[in-house]
Amino acid sequence: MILVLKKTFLYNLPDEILLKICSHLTSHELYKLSLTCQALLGVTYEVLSRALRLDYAYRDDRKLSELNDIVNKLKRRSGGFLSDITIAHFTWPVSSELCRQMHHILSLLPNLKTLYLKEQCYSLQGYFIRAGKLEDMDANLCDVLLHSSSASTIRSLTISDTRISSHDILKLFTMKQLEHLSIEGFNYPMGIEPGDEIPHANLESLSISTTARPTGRHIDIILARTPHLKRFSWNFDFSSIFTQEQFKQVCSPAAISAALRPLSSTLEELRISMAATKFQNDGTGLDVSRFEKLRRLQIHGELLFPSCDELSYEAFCDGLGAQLWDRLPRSLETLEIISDTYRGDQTGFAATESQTMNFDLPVSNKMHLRKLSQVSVIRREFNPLEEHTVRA
Amino acid sequence: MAASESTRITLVSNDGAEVHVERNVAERSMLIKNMMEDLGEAAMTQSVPIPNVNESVLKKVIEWCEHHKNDPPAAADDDSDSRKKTTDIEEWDQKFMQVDQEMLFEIILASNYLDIKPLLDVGCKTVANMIKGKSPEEIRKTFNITNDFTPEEEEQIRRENEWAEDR
Repeated sequence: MILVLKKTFLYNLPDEILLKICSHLTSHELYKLSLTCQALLGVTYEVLSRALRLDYAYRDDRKLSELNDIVNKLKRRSGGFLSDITIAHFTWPVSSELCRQMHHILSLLPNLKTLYLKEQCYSLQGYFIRAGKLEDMDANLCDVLLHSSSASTIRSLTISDTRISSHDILKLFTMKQLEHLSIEGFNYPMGIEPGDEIPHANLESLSISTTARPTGRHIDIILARTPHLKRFSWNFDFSSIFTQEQFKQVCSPAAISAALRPLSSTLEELRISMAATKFQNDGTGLDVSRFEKLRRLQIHGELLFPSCDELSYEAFCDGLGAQLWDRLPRSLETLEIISDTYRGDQTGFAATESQTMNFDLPVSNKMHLRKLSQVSVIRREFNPLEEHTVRA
Repeated sequence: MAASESTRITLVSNDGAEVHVERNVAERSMLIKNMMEDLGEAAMTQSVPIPNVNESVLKKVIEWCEHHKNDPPAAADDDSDSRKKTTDIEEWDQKFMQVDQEMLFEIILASNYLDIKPLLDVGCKTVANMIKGKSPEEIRKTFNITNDFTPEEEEQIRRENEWAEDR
């Protein structure tokens, strides 16, 4: 019999097992483990760097003095310069107590660069259970932020709050240093008066994930005020908000082209992704040929082609590509096309699988798109949502 | 249909050893349990190859399954709860895990492959407990780790993670 000597050490256990072991350790223990060797540093690094910021979990019974302790301790540990915090709130909706605590934390951190406000209670179920007690209608996280010194220091801001309105977003545009803004769960496209005096934002990167109408004045007004935008990511999730018919009316390639027009001279990256509703093309296709700086495009096949059931390599070589190249700019380097399959005919879906195929197209096939080095198709599969049925 | 307790099946380790075991003991492994369900009666007469585990480790794992054969099935999501009580390892399991490191890691790998979650958990907790309370140098000594950092690299990690020093 041949004996294979293959000794197992701590550091050559698979990562999944090492991470399981790490989950039983505190940050201090992880830190000491990270100092042992390169391999273990690699595994602990991610866990540690996540902990490097203040992860503040909101509790409405916290005293402000307790907050002082938490923040000051962390400031000391970060060499007096804590610039990255996450505040998670576990209740819905935003309460005035949360706003008070956040105001206090911000006042202790004069040089804040990154702020991540995370809403924990996101499910529709939570929404309906708690919607009965909307006692804090005046509590507004954006207002707290804008009235703090952080308004002039923050560069990167993520807010996940289903109550944020387009008016709030425009107010955030007044933050002078803000380069990256990400809004998750934007579903209040109200509150904009066309005459509102809103200064242009310095934003370079904007990400909006919305359940609101994708076109129409709200997005147009927002995009008209971001003249420096380089990266724009737009996620629609229409589960249970729109019927497919309504969706078809508000989201056509032509309407989206119109909304994006103000960005044509600056945009380098564009991502448009939809979930939960199959997009139907109206026979046209999105035209971004005038976006002369666009390097990366990630978009749904239905926004590009009238029909895209067969997005294969062969189809691309046989002319599917040729239909498209005229509508893409010379500067494009990466094209990712999303192709979704929906099972069942319900309105609510959950993504199950995703698979990416890269096409290495011959140069002759890409016409004027000489820089285009990556063409890929991302296939996603959606199955009906079973548990969270929404009752009106 | 409940299998009678005396039903025995034969497992074959990757070094060719046959190990006979009660079916309900072997079924602490979700991998084997699912395999049994797929194979049905055929599994009773054929031997089941376990290609990733050698004889001594397989026997050790079965010893654990034997002791825990009557444990109530773990709730699907008790992960978050068990995570906090790290030092909580029951006495029998603590004794069971007093093996050399090579065996300890092999048990962890085998329980991962065979999908025996409670055993995997005990194994990971045991390793975590071996790390707790030790300095980096002591951890290296315990696990036979060679320090492959340059002094500059080490200094940089220390600087970046100063905040975690006295946690």
